[in-house]
Amino acid sequence: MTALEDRLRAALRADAPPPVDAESIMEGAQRRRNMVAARVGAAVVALVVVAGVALGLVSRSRGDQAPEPGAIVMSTPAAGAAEPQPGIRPSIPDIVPGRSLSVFPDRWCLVSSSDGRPFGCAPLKDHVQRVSDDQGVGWLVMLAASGPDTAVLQVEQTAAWVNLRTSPAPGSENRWVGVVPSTEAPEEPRASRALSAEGKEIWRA
Amino acid sequence: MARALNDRAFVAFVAASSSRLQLLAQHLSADQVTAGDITRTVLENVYRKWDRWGSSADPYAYARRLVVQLSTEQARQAAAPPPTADHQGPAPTPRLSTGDLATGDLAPLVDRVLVRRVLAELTPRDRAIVVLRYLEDMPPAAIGQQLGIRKGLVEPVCDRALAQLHKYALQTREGEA
Repeated sequence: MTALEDRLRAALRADAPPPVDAESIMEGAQRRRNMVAARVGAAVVALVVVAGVALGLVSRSRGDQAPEPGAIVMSTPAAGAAEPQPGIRPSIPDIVPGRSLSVFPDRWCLVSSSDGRPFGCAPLKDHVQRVSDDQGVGWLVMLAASGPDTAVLQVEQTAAWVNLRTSPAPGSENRWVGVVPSTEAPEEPRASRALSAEGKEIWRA
Repeated sequence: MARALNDRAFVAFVAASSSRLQLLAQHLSADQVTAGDITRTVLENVYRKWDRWGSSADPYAYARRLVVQLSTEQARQAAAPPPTADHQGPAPTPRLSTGDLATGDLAPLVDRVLVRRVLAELTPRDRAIVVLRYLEDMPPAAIGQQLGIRKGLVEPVCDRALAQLHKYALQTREGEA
């Protein structure tokens, strides 16, 4: 059996591909880090706006005095106060071509990378959205607060669980975003989950 | 300064390990493009954790575990119904190495074709067992631990794969005769 084992070993070790370029790996990881930092910044800005709006509401409900003429006043809060505003978005890498992700305290939105126009928003409790990119290709996007140990996000289809391309999402190291072309996950997901590097299920919805 | 040192260590790690990790992913997922994607994802994951690891950490073991998990999962998705000898997926075609050409010995190439055929007939889990045993030289206990199976399952799967390889090798020889 030993000779056969040696042949098996040799056959498995043949045709090894060339090493991967480490610089490109580091750049890719750095891009993702920057993406997280930019999104944390965006989330802080959004929080400040929402907090300001909330303070304004409290102030009004208490019947506080009207501001002095000429004072700076925050605009009247509207239902969509935390919606992405065209022209004030930080530079955020695309999740899918032409689309980026904005996370707000109560919802997450897929917005145009060029002008911030929202293509779709969902409450944070909804983990999955579908969006088409600027070429008209459909994508399934998932957002999950699955924790720092997340290695891969998955959605369940009738045949099997489908892996999503997974990267850190805005706000904290706890939140992750996964994307996959709609053609690879055409059905409405029956469930979604996050696996650790050890393959353990660490989050499920 | 510490960052530069860490980056240099990571570059050395990638130079030493990425080829083997990609080969592992290739055998497990039976798809060269997927294997490349998985390897990049895993290495980015390793790089993100690199600064936090102490000297006792084993980044290769971590990367290997992640490659096995992602590749096996990928193979499960692609393997419904399970792969047969006729369906070998878009894995790279074994090619003559410079050694084969120098000696004119085609046996290594034949072995690579036969091994690929044997692997394609295995379930993703059994394929992982065989590849970890003979590519990575992992002992049965470590394989059992990594795949979450009893270590007693490892040897029978390897024996069956070797028997199948033996059978195909005999058939090939008879075909040549």
